[in-house]
Formats: sequence, structure tokens, C-alpha cells
Amino acid sequence: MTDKEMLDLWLEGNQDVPNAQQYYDEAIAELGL
Amino acid sequence: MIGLSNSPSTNTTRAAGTLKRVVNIGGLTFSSAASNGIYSMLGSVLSVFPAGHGFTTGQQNIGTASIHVKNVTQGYTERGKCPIHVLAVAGTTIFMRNGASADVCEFTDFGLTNPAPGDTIKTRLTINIKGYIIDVPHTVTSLLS
Repeated sequence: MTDKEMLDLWLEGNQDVPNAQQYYDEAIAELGL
Repeated sequence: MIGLSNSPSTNTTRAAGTLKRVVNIGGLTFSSAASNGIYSMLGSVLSVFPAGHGFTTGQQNIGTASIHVKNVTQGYTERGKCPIHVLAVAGTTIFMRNGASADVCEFTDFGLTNPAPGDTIKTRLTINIKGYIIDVPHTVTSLLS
């Protein structure tokens, strides 16, 4: 499983978390993906 | 007459002032996939650390996780252990993962029995990082395909 796949899985499982998309986007940017 | 008190204990074995608190955001997401019948477990969590934590993206082995698995289908429980790595840092929020890749995250790598297709497992992950106290364990229930 790639880093992106792992983050995708986290986002999918945490859609109800406030700002989930923002946390995901920040991590994607940090990893340069 | 014997007096009984059920007051909760306030004793602690650690000096609370020395531990920094980590707060989880959302839940553990977990993938239990099989390759040739060998299951691996890869999980990620997001937590907020205090400012000045010093962790960096990609940092390895920042702590360990105690794994408690209840195989509901087979009727056993067991405990294992795995390393915790940093997936990505964005300020004080840190994505952590329990392994670098599936081939080093097989159940047996963590001291656990390889489950079978169709098993339902309840997994509890308790992350331990030196110097920090993490608010609650993560739990997840998986139906293995």
C-alpha cells in the first residue's frame, strides 16, 4: 500500500471528521504527492 | 463494621507533568488484505501533538503499538506489538502508520496468528510514544475477505 493509498483510506474512513479533507490535503502536500 | 470505599484511585505511577498529551483526530483506518493466504495489517491514525514535537515526515520507529486482536469467528484473543512510523507531518498534526509496507506487516510479523478468510476480527491498537500520553486506544472491526 502506497502512502497515498493509506491517506486515501484514512479520508474514506473519516469523512465525518471536521476538516478531514484539509488534513488529507496537507499531508498530500507534505509528501509531494 | 467494615467500611468500604469505592472512590476511584488517584494514584499514578507516572509523573503527569512530564507527559505531553496527544489527541486523536478521527479513528484508525485499517487494511487487512491477504496475499496468497497471508494477511497483513496496515493502519494509519491522525493525532495532534503539542507544538515543538520535533517529529519529521518519514521518521521511523517513533514508538510502538500494542495490538489486541479478538478473532470473533475463531474464538480467540491474542496480543502483539508493532513499530509506529511517521507518515506525514503538517504542523502539529501527524499521520502515523504501523508499518512501511505489507510484506513487513503480516500478522505473524507482529506475533499474531494468521487469520482465515471470512473471519471477523476486532483490533485494538494502543500507541505508546515515549514522553507522550495518547488519549484513547484505537479500535476497528474487520470482516476479512
